[in-house]
Amino acid sequence: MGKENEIKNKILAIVTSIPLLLGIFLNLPLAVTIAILVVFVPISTYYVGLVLMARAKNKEDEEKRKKITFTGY
Amino acid sequence: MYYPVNFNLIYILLEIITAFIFGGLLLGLHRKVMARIQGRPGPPIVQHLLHTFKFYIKELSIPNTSSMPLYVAIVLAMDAVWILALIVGPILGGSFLIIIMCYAVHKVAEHGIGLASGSPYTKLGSTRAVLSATAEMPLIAVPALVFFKTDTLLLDGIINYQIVNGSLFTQLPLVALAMFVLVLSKTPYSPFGIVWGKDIVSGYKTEHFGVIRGVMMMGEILAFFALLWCFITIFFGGIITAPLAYMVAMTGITVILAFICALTPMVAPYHAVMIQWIFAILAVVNVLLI
Amino acid sequence: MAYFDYLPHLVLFTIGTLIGLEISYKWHSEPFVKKKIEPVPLILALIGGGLMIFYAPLGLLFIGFVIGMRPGYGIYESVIGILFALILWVTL
Repeated sequence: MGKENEIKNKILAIVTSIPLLLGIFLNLPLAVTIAILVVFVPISTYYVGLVLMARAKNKEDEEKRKKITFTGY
Repeated sequence: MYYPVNFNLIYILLEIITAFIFGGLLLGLHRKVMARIQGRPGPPIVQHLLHTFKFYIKELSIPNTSSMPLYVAIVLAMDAVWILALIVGPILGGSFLIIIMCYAVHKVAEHGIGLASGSPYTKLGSTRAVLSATAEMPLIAVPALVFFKTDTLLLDGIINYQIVNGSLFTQLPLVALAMFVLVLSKTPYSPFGIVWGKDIVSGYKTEHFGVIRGVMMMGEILAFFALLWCFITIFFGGIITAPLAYMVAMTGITVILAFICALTPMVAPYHAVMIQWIFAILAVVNVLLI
Repeated sequence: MAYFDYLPHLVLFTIGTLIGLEISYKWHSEPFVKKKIEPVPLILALIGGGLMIFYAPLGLLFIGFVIGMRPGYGIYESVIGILFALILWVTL
């Protein structure tokens, strides 16, 4: 994945987390809360995962991480 | 229906996280017990959670043959469905029918996951998902018979009925058996797990790796927790009320499930359907006996 | 009913098993051999069993350390720790 894709994923991760943050700070009705949770928890999980994946991939010790050791599980 | 005010987003989110961690530990225990029965040391109990987090930060590769939006969206839908089931069941004590519908949509999601990636193995898995949908007779038998007994399908109502009249397990034991088979068919390595059988590599999961596999495993963990919770609530709701008691009971049922999974072979697809039909018919026989 | 009352228990137990897994692989990097009871995990399990009475999450952290050790190690120690906790719970 290219650089633009990473930036796009970061933006989407933030955007999809906004409703959850809103739900934490505002006192929303129960139905709205459930809708927010059901729709935005999986989506934001996915995009946060993509961002974390990109971070793990770009790490300098990636080579060391990949090396198979006896303690690797 | 009236719900207390303190059901805000943080409350529900914390419950979901608790269900996730506990369900992950339960699935780890399931693997551990299975391994001990088969004479292996087995993985540590956190292994299932570790796997989930490991996949979560691995590189996502989307096959060229897949239809990209469906490939991702159907997995997210599976997660969403079980989050809804968790909110309706353990948190609000709402309608059992919604959870049954979530279970049915889970089947649809399995089918979609298999079709989306375009690999022959996953297609075979999704075909089996459709086939095993015909095996879901207990899915209709259980809510119908519980409704005729208790006159309600709200989980709170079922709990109240059991507090007054004693556990449904003693009144409808064969229906409980049918529901148990339903839970068993969703357990990993179960004899009815024809959808992800190793004879077709990994069934519908074959092409799902990286982040999307992590998200999928989260959904499966939530599904395991929600199904165990439903089983305990519907048939032991009179005895088991406190969260700690629920956790102990879930651990016990997981150990029983692990024994069954370790000692039975994976049955052939048609046999899986037939056996589950037998349990559904047994459940109906239960009504005639009372 | 609130399941997240047990969130600290579960989180600390999970963290304990992870630490136990990491550290026990540092201790035992050799191929698996059947071992006798080791002193350090035994002490940790006993501490965990004792703490279960006073503050359960912390006790679970220590017991989780022993339970989570490399597969094949720490079995007797964790059983002893859990039995110790049970005995304390019954007597106190």
